[in-house]
Amino acid sequence: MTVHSEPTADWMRSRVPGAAPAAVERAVRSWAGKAADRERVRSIPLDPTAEPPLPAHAETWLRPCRPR
Amino acid sequence: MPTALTGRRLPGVADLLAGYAAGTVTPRDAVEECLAVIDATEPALGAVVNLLAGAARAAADEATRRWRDGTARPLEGIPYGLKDTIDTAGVRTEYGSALHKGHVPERDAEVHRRLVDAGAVLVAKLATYELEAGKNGRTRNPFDLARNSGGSSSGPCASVGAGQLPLAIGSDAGGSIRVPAAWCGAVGLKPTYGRVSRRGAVSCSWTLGHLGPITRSARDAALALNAIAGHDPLDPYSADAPVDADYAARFDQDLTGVRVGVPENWFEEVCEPAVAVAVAAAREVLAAAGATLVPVALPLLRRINPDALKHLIVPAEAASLHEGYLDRIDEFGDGFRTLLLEGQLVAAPDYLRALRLRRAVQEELAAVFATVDALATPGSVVTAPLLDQDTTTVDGVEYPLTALVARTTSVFNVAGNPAVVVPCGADERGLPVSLQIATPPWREAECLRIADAYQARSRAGAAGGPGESGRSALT
Repeated sequence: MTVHSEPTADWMRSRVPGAAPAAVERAVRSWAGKAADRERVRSIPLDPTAEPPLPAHAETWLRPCRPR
Repeated sequence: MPTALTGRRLPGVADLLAGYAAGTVTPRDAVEECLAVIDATEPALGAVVNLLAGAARAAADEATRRWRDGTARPLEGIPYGLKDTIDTAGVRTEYGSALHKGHVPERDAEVHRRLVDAGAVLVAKLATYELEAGKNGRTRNPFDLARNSGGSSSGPCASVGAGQLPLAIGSDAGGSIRVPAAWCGAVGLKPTYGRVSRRGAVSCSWTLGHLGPITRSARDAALALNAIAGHDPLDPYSADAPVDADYAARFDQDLTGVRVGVPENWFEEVCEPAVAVAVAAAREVLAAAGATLVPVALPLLRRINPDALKHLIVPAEAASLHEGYLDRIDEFGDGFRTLLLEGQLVAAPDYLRALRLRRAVQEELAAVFATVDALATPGSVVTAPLLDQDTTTVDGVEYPLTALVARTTSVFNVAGNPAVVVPCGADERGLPVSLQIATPPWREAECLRIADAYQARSRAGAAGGPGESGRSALT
């Protein structure tokens, strides 16, 4: 466990009150294990003009009710 | 008690269609053969979750009649299976989740509808990791029942690898078609993002998810793609892009003029030696077919690690996709529950940064594809691990398996490019090794053409078995 595990667990419990303590503990450990991944993602210089490639087309966005 | 379930050599899609046309075999014969193999390999394999024998026999009889009447459609009478994340109207579809036990969809998924319209015959629903991202404790590897089949398309890949079915449809949000296909000795295609409609299939990720075929050959994958590719106006993630009339039209086994990129970075920096040897030999087969091998640099991949992007995107999107079930969190299995809980922790700026970095990955790949037509990499840097194995040692360094399984595949989910894996040999235990071919977006035909040329020129490329370098499989 990292020193940040309690705030992390508290946040998780606040979001998902029904989660069992063991499940929260497992998720906190898994999350902590990926800390290096997050640091890596944050460390890459980003082109300020890069937009997220969200796949919604304008046509879709403008069609609130899609027929099924 | 057998320890492996390979060695059965059912015909593939193209062979069956040729046999039907020649009158040497009927769809009913093929379905009965599939059912016999399923009966012989289940429940040991654990690939089938819902066998639809009665409906399959009826559909096969109708297909047999159509071949006799001259009204056969493109995949008339081809038996297939669907990952159980794909909806089938009136047929139990549980998404690999106890939380959805007994669920019966009202509508067919579009991919299923297109296969039925093409004349294919649904034989079975196949095992999946929970909701495409949790775990699956039931499916074993057909080459060694003590080993992992991979996932999340465990059932489709184990089923095709064991010879139960010539065609199955799986899904892939980071390697979920290609990794299990690589470990189970099958061919697995992840098409371009948006090429195949996902409507009616549950997913763990809007922006990374794809559907695609698992088969015994690249040619069979092309025939399946002919039926399932194309715009679906009711799926907001489906692309309105031109579709090839026949993805196998240019298969000629001659790769003269084709430039195949050999990445100098990332893909083989951590790789089991047997995998590296087999993949290098496979590239030489491509060269013998006329391709020019070109070293290419992809330095950004090492700096970013596409898996690091996936580890932000998938938890965030899965937690949103399935937030309606958070009040029943303890009904999920451990793996998917952990994913949903981790998703609560992903900060919005981190999620959006991960999405924005995908553009940088796309641009790096686009720059490489300006100089080569395809990339040739390992399908997986490790062969199938034992069922309870969590780590693996490569070159004396121990790694968590989760850090390696999608190392060569997730980049093409991040960028959206098509990629196919084909068996290319075996390790010292007889476990399949796989070659991955990736091309620029929308060029599935070129991707499959290169894979077909490899398979045609190499016995190791025969799906369902690692070929002459593999051990004899039990029957």
